[in-house]
Amino acid sequence: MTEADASLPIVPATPAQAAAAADVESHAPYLKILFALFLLTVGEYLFARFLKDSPGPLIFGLVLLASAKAALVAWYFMHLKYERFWVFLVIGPALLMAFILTLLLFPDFVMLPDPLGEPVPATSGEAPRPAG
Amino acid sequence: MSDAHVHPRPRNPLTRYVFSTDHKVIAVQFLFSGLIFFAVGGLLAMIIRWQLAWPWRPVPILSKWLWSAPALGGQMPPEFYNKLFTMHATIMIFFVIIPILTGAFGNFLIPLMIGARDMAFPKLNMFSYWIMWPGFAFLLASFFVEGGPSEAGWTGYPPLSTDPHAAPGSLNGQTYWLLALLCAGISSLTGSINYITTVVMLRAPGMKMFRMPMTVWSLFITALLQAFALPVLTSALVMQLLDRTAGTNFFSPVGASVGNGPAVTGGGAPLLFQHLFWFYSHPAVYVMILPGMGIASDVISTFSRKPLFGYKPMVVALAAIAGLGFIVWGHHMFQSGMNPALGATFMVSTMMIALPSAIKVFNWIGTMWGGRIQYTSAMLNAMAFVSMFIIGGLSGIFMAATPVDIHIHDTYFIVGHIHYVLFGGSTFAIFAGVYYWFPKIFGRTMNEGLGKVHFLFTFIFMTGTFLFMHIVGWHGHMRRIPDPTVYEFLRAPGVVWMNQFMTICAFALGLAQVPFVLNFFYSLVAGPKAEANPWKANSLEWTTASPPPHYNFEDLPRVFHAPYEYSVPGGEEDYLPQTSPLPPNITLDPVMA
Amino acid sequence: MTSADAPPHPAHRPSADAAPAPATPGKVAIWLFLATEIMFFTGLLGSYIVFRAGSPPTSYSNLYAPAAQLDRLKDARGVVLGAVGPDADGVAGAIASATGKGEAEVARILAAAPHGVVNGLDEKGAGELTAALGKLGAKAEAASLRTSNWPRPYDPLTNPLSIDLTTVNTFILICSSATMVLAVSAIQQGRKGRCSLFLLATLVLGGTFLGVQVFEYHELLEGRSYPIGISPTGHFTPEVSLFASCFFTVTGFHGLHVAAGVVTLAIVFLGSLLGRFSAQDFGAVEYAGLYWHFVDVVWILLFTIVYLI
Repeated sequence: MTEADASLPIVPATPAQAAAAADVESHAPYLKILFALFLLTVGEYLFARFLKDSPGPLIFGLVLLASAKAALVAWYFMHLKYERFWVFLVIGPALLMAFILTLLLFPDFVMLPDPLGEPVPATSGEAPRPAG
Repeated sequence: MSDAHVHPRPRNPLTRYVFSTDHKVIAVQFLFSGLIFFAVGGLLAMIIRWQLAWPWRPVPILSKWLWSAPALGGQMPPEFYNKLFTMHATIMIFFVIIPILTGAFGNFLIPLMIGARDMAFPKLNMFSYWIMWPGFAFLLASFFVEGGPSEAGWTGYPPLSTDPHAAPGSLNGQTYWLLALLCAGISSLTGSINYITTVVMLRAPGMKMFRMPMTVWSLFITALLQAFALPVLTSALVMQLLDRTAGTNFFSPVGASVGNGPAVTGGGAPLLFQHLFWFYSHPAVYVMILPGMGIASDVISTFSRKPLFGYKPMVVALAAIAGLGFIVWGHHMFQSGMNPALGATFMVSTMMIALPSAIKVFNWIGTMWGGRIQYTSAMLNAMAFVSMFIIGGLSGIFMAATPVDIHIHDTYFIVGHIHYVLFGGSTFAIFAGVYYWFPKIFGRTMNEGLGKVHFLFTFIFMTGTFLFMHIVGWHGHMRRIPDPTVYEFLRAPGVVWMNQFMTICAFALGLAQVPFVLNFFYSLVAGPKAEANPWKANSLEWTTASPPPHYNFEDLPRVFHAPYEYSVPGGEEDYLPQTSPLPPNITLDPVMA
Repeated sequence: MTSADAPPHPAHRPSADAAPAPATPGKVAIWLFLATEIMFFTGLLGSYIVFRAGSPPTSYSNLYAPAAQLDRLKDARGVVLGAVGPDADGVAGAIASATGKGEAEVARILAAAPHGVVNGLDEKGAGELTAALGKLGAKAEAASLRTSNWPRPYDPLTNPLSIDLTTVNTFILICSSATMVLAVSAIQQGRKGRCSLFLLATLVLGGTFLGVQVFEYHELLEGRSYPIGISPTGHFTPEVSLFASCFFTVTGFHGLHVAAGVVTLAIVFLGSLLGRFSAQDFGAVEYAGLYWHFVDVVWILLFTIVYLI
């Protein structure tokens, strides 16, 4: 291993290392993961069906279940489990920024004063004509 | 890297010069198309200035065929003025500065400076240039569609941009504008993925990350900025495009109706576009200035014959500017009706950017301090970059403060600021880069005398054009109005006089580019042949021939140190190429170098 | 592992830490590309989330078109037409005479049964119309105004989306992700035939997903008639409401990504038939797989956010 190779953040793999890594990846318990994903999908369906009228627990539970599913796919199917740190350096900032962007949109579009709380002028009580 | 890469360049002129996968050819393609659009955008700016200095007076020569409205007696229609400033900004930002800095310099310099034979994905690289062409086509075609090009400003804010009835030019011109920007965006995205992969994977033996020249660092961080921010703009443009073509309601409020047009179902939020737009377009400001910082760092160190002062702090400052750049977009929106709590957050984060920026300026000055400065054209332009960036940066702090911004928002103060950063900053950096690397790109040397004449007049008239914008802006001169004299306070002789002075300086600034164009094309065909290392610089591109062979390096270079080892004590020469080992008695400061 | 099929299983497998996956330019680039895709979908889904959470509480209702001004209509009543019954003309006439609606509008209400909504009534009018329709053999019941800030799942009067169908479709896409990873696993072991087979399965499942989505779009855009609370035109098209705009944009761009993935997979599949890949050289399969899984992850989140919440 030369000085140059040691300096690289990503060390090129020898063929033997690559073969070993491929071997590990190829024996992951994919069918078990698929079964877990099936259970989670059914779980989501039932959860959404029976809690459809209580938004708080519904959203909390569904986000949790969906995150678990997404994490399973990413962790096993996308081989994050077997990757080195650099992959997290690539997607970590993207996820962080995605979170920041969405979060900073909330004050302007969600945390608004309630329009129903404002007094309504009593000049016209006519029903609007439905469009079309 | 296998030796299969060492082969002569293709003979077929089509694959050699047009559909080339050679990063050097693609860089030249980006450079030329950028410079052509630079002329177009500059011409639009001249017409803008004419109207501001002498409102409604027919423009010589151009009035006849730019707008045919005999009823107006040769006057410029007001909506044409809107088109002018919209297209001027769009062209300069998306089709000149970004393509030249990242497309031309990024393509040419990254592989050469890190000691690679080409980009990681040469075909993707070719794609990232040629996808610009549909963009060019949409942009130019928009001038000829009914209603003319977009007139919603380069920011394309809805509802002005989404409602076809809001302005005459919002007919199809705005749709073409969106398509042009989408194409340019795909080009930037594919390019940035290529640059990052190249820098991470293809560095020559010994080229540690902290041995890369500042130019490569800046282009690398710029590519990261684009990769993470640009897709958000893409999504916003897509939503606006759908609003215009498919009838979606993202950016139209409930029941919105403009200019007697039909009311839309709505429910959307115009402000959302501003958020998404600035989430990219503020980092885009750094996309336009960071490569300039990298170029200036290399040029200043070379021509001061001194190591760059504080190499590692400079890298950290670059990264800090880029990182902070993601969480400051709201400072463009203090006046938009944004939640005031957000405004305070964005104000603080924006002011924090002054810190890394100050580190950079301090280190450039520290590099020059006590150096044996060679006043070449490249160095003069780089020094102008530093001083103009100080002015542009300081006026930026004014705007970061919400209370001050309320006064100067959408005035010529902003216009002056952006031009100090983009003309005083980016454009001088582009000139510095062209003068510095021209011998390497084309194998011939530019004329230094003409270069200095060009620099001198550009600097003088650039100041004359943009400095007074701050003053009239502070006086309340708003941007994007075709005729300031409709307001009494802008009819004051001082304001009118300053407007006319700025216009005359702008014309002179345009004329000052003639020596550059002459110099560029004369040197291209008849300049004296350049040697491999005309500036006695250290970085890897100077270790190969000028122009470099198709495969860049006969043998991949081996790197021993950072590229800033100038005037090493005990050395025979005052420079030490990266391929030569350091003398044994030298130890480097672990923090600074 | 040089033989093509059925390699011997090594007795001892190194742990994951001992053999981290190698980085190649292709893998770095595909992950960077996925990062840009994360940001692109953040723009779309983030907008959806803030619209979903921030729309005014009266944006959607069971009786009026989306974004109608409802603040003075708290006492409005309507009639939900459950079934038209034998006498369609009589029902149409009764609705027309009770509300003064035009022929086209009444026809839309009838077409939308069992969720046809007659609006523009007060309490008395709604009672009378319900009784009149009952006499004509139609199934009808009076309804008072119910508003929400977004169409609610399982509410056929405001939400046209079929959760049952899409749950199945979601699982089809998840299965395609599993077959994809099995294809990668097969080629990593050098089993080329098995790899082609799983690639074909992925293609078929991905195509099925797309087909179901095209069917869903067809139903929404023209196949079915929906009540006024979903769309004033009877069809769910992008311009009828903010929800429709968001729905078509988000799922449409996801669908385009799936279509691009299917094309990529078809090319990879052809490559595998031609024997392009081996245990040492399977980059293209792996990268296509990473993209495909990413599209799957986006759908998992999108399905939850758009359909279930």
